[in-house]
Amino acid sequence: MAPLNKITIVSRTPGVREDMVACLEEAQVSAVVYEGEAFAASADIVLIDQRALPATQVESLLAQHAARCILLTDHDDGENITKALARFPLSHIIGGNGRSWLREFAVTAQKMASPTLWGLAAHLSPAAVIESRTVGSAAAINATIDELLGHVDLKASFGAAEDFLRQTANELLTNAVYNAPVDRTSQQPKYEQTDRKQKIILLPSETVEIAFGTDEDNIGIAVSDQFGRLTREMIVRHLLKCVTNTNFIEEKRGGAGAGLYLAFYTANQFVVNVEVGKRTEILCLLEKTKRYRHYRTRVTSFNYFTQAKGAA
Amino acid sequence: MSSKFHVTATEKSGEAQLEFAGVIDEDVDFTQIKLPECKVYTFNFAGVKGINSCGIREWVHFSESLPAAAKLVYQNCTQIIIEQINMVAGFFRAGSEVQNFYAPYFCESCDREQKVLITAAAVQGLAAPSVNCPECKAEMEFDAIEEQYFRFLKANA
Ligand SMILES: [Zn+2]
Repeated sequence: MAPLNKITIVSRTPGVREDMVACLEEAQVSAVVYEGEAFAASADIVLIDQRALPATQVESLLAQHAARCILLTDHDDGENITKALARFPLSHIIGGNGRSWLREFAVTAQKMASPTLWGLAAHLSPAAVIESRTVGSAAAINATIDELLGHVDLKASFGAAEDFLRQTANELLTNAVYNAPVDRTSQQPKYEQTDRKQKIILLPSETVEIAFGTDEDNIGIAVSDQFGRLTREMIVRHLLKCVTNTNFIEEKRGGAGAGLYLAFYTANQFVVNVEVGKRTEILCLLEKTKRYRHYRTRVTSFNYFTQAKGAA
Repeated sequence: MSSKFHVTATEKSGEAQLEFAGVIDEDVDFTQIKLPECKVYTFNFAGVKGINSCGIREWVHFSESLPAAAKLVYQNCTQIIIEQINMVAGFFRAGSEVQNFYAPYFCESCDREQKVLITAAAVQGLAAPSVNCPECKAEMEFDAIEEQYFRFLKANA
């Protein structure tokens, strides 16, 4: 049983506390829920509902409690990166116009209390269908994606969703294959500067897992490596570079330095789970919708969870 | 369906026509395309199923390698190509023109999305052209954000 969360909700949206309590109960997340800023100092989790709060109050709360905050927001992704993630040590943003943001909130609260919850299953309903494969070489990336995409029911999605899912899976796998592995002794990257045309073969201790999963609301991709080196700061620095400068394709050796941003840009929920030094898992979820406009205007959720090595 | 990249290139009277299919990624070698120097290069993206960040870099290099005075014409751009043009500096070199492209429309009564091929000229003042549903004939809704989806038109040669 997960430990009890003390959650305080700072919101001016009518009924939001009741909705959250009901959702936490439904998800069987054990929590005691307060309302108001007065409880922020003692709460494990501070939910800031930015949708109806003055900017100064949001900033003040983030300045004091960012590491324990979930920011529920309807601001666009660029603003969330430049004004929230880059300025405060915040690890949790939920898109306030997401269809299932309440469930996202319950999952986030649950994982903040027990960051040992891995995989797509935590983010999809119990009825989700999940298919996974192991990738042992760069040459297998595209064929594995094509094969897994063949299992995904895209009937409830807009037509271009398949292309976006393929792009996301490709970026995540390419990063996991080329960028994640380090020499275990020197901790120096092994393949980071390798030309991506050179199709490397991974050692068994370097292989990568990919999963595609779907439930009634979302299609998800999860890619995990065996190194656990991705920090929140690395991600935020990368997102900030790409969102503030459209000239972000890099001419360095190795990759083009844009993969994570393209995955974030394509996702409706971008979730990173890290066990330091052991594994990194990146999940990208797209809402099932036939409406491209809804997909594009959906504020992207960002969640970074970390646990110390061996804490599971 | 395989995502392997294919290109078919032809040239006639100083105008090159290139048809792409599959995924544009790091393995795409545009230098293999042997064509005489042309005044116009027309790219048909209808068969492009995806692109990754290394593919974007390959594309930028390729378009920059073409004669500076040449006109580059983009045809049948799929949604993912339009997204890259809008997002990545250099994807759409100076002197380039999107002639036509796919745009998402939605028919409420049929609950159906339709990818419609529209010409850049049909977009007036960032307003999406009116399109009727091929099934029920009702007017469909443009299903993207005009300012976002049509951003590339500002750079259209
Ligand atoms: Zn219709």
